[in-house]
This record gives sequence, structure tokens and C-alpha cells, in this order.
Amino acid sequence: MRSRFSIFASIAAILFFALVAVFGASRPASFLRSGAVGIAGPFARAAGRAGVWLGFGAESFSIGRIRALEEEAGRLAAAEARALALEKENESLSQSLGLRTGFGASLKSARVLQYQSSLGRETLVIDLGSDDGAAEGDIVIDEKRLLIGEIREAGIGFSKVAVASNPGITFSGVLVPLGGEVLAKGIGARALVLELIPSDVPVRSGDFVIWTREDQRGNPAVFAGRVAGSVAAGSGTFKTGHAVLLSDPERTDRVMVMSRQ
Amino acid sequence: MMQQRYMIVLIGGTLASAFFIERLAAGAAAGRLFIPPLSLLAVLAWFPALPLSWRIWLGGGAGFLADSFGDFRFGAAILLMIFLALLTGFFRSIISDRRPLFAKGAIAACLMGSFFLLVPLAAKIAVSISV
Repeated sequence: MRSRFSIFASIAAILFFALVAVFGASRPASFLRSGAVGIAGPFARAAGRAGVWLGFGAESFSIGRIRALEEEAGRLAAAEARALALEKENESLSQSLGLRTGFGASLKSARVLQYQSSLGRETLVIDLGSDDGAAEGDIVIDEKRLLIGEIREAGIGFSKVAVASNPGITFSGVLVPLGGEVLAKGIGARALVLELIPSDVPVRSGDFVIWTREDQRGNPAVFAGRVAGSVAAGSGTFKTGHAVLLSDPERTDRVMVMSRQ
Repeated sequence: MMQQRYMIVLIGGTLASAFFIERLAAGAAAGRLFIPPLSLLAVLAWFPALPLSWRIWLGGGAGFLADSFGDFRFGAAILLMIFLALLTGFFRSIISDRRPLFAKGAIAACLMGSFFLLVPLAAKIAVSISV
């Protein structure tokens, strides 16, 4: 009798979880996931905050240093228009309304429910889901207009954000202040590889990488990374470098989601 | 019945502690260190001591939690944990239980090694079967 019950329970469990795994995007599964995030989210968030308090992470990149760079970038023709727009909007950086005015109606605010780093990948869970207009591929920035990452999965009432330095994440960028388009790839541990740097573009340690996308041209710049170390001279037309992600996802309480226009 | 309740409390406490420590370590390391999925590894450590139905429910639940919060493609951790719950029986059959504690430790170690080997495969399977 007990063994029959055990077999029945095992089969029921396999069927249940197989259905949840296969139909993960369906409404019932999304509600289950929203429930799990809602119940365990505060516990996870508290643990993350305790970790940040205990931790030995690097000091957060300050708004003061970003402004100093913006003033330098404004002097150069390649980034002059964006730098002037940044200078005008500096005062409203921390206000969501000011940020929305700069980026247009496609910017939505969200609260970070938890931060996790596991198997070399960092993930944020935010409280903005597909029912609020979030979609896979939307870019997420913090209140300092630093790139956090992109939405990997949008559920009902929540979304999972993959940090931009995770392995497998790739985005287009522009070097500041000297210009030049690059392809930035995440390699984990907050590091980015900069590829396809034209060999005639000078790149210095300390230069910045701005995230770009075709439908976002004309919007205020989103800073992604800072060039670190020397740039390796390639044998062909391009060279390769490295950068460090500027944002601190583990310390972020609120983010902004940029939807595709 | 009392023993079952005691087991449930112990397993729940282990899972909650591992979940907490994993996020504590993630917040402290701030992406600069490799943090293993401690909650899933804690569940795998319990597998050798549990009957099949318990393993599947516990593994599926822990996988569901990991898929909801982590960077796993949804479904990958669920499928992987259920597979490992079934694989426990195979390891039990090939590892001698003359010294039970050592045998359980060996089975848990085999399951954890299998977990790390199968994570990429589980992610690909989850992508292909999800609707």
C-alpha cells in the first residue's frame, strides 16, 4: 500500500513539474512563479542587503566622476552633441520624471526584488513584468544612467535581468571620448571584451564605453563600461580590448527599463 | 509520523539556510567570485537519505525556486533536479553501503558532479521543449 502510494506520488510529481517546465510561460505557471518571487523575494533581498553590508565589493562609481567625464567628452566633436545633452540633464539624473523626459515615454521604473550571483552569472529580479510592458531584450539602466543589463525573461509581475557582463551578453557601443564603434561581450565577473575596435582608433585605459542601439540615437547616453588595461593590437583591421562594467547591480534598489520604440 | 515531520523541518531549514547564504555570498562578492548554487547543492546532499517520491518533490521544488530566481532558463533546473532524483537510485546500486555515512556522502558527491556536468545540457533541453 505504502509502495503504491509512493509510486503514485512520484509519477504525480514528475508530471506536475514536467508540465510546469514545458508550459513555464503560461498564465498558471507565471502565477506560481510570481507567488514564489513574492514570498521568497523579501527574504532573498534581505540576504543580499546583508551581503552588501558585509561585503568587500569596490566602491560604487560616483556621480561626481561621471560629470567630470561628461565635461571632457563634451569638448570632442564625436560625442559633443550627447555630452551637451548630458550636461543639461545632470541635475535631474536622480529624478525619474527628468530621466523619462530625456528618454521619452518608453522608460519605466521598477524596484529590484533580489540580486543573485550563481555559476558566474549575475541576475536581478525586478517587479516589472510583461503585463506592464516589459519584454525580453529591453535594456535596464540604473538611476545614474549606467547600464545594468537586459531583460532575459519577462513574466507576469516580474522580470529577470541578466547583467551586461554575463557570458553570452553582447551589445554595440561607442568609445568615449575618442569615438569609434565597438562590440562589447560579457565574460563574467563584471568584465567585458571589446572587439572590432578599428585599428586606427586610439583607445586609452580609463576611456568609457557608451551603450548604443539604432532606435536610441539622439537619447541621452547610457554609460556601460570603462576601458581597463592595454588594448591588444590585432593582426588585421581590428583590435581587442577589455572593459569593466560601471554599474553595481548588487547595490541597486531601483532601475529603469528602456523598451524598444 | 514524528520522524517525517522532523525530516521535513530539517530539510526545510537546510534549504532556507542555503538559500540565505547563497544570496549573502552573492551580495558580499558582488559578482567577483564564483558562487555555486548552494540551495540546489544542499538539496542534492539530502537525496541519498530520501525515498524516491520525496526526492522528486523536493528536487522539483528546489529547481522551480532556482529557475524563478536565477539565471537558469526556466525549466532547466527543474528537469535537471528531477533527473538527478532518479539518478540517485543508480548511484545507490553501484556504491557499496557497508559504511552508510560514507556511501551517502559518495552518492551526494556523484550527484553534485553530475549536476555541474549536466547544467549546459539541461539549459539547451529547456529551450527546446518550452512552449
